[in-house]
Amino acid sequence: MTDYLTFSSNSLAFRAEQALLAAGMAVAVVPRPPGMVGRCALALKLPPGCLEGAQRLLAARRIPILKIHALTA
Amino acid sequence: MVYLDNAATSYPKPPAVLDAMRAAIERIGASPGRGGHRQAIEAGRAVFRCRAAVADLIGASEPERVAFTKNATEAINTALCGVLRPGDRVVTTDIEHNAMWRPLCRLARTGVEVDVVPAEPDGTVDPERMLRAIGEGTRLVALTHASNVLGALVDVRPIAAAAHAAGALVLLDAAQTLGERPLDVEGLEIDLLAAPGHKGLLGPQGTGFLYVGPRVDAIEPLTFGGTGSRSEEEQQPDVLPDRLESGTLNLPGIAGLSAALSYLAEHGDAVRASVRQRTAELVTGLSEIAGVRLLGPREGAVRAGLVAFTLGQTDSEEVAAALDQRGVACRGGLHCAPQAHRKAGTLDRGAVRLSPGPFTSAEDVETAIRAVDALAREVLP
Repeated sequence: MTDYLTFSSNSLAFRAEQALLAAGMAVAVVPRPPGMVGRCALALKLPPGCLEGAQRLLAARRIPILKIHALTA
Repeated sequence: MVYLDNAATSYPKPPAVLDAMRAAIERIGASPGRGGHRQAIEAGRAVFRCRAAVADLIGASEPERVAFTKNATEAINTALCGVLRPGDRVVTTDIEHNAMWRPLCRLARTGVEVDVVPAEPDGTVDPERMLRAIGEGTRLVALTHASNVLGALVDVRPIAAAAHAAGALVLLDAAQTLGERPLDVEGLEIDLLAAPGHKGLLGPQGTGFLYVGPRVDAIEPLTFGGTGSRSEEEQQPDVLPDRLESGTLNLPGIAGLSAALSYLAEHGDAVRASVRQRTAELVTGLSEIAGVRLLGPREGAVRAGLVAFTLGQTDSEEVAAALDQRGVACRGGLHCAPQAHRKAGTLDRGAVRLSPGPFTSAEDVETAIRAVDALAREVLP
């Protein structure tokens, strides 16, 4: 399974990407996952085992996550 | 040609600005926030980089609070029309640019109470007068950071403090100062900051932004439409910046602005010092020419990077045209700021404005002063 994060705006997705890349996580902005049609254009794909760390860091940076998606890669 | 019209728009731009705009068109091209293909993602990333750079520049901790506009005028209109409702009271000054004054006059016809505080004759704004005007029931204090005619800088901090004590918001028009002067929206507690990208920030025309601070609990957009987010909803998203950014953004312009901000991040101190020095040289040189009357603060006072003057009774457009013939590009007329000219007593003939930029040399200033001096000897008795 691969974890994806979505956000309420694309700007937040890029800000999250910037923050997590700076923390050494190999994240990437990718197209939105299934089930999110219309809600957002983009999502953030997390490397394996990074979900909790990413959540903590984004909370510390006050970057709200819209939804967490665990999908078969 | 000596270009001294940087208060209208900066010229030349750092070469990296053009390179970035060309790259945005040639290598990215896609629409930011519309679709998930790699080019669209790269376009979105380019927009975010600029948004984050603007936030860094103005001391905003949340880049989402920076909404791109096509210029400062659109940003000011968005702020005024977005927060003011019939019955609200707004406090402003009598030296505002038409970008502020015209929308306020329009809003006054819809029932917004506009209270105008007189500035001093040199364009300085007495904070005490502002404080006396700001009272309970004031929704917004809206003013320029520096008049585009008079150039005097406004001391924002006490005005913002008084506004917040009364429960009001603060809108600052930084069209003539951002890039030239440091501005910290969180430190100064500015709630709404409007600025162009193409003046002191050295970006391309067609760029600007509005910062919306956390005290602004609700802001109505000026434009409604597609945002690439919450597309299933009939109402405009309430999340920033999407709420204020309907339609396809100006990617080439924003990429150019991003490059300009990188240039300023590297050379900002030198840019600011150079503009201050050239401005001081203009003030000194012009003040020594018989028949020249300088507008704005006295010599040596803190001012934005512009110097406006009159030459005897000669129409300012005639002076500007004559200087153009002598190789000096500058602006005559009313500068879209009739209120400031009324204040200065120049509403009938306007004034000539010389405004240096970061690439203006001391020789350029000397050339301009010589041209004004020669013209003064020609036209004045």
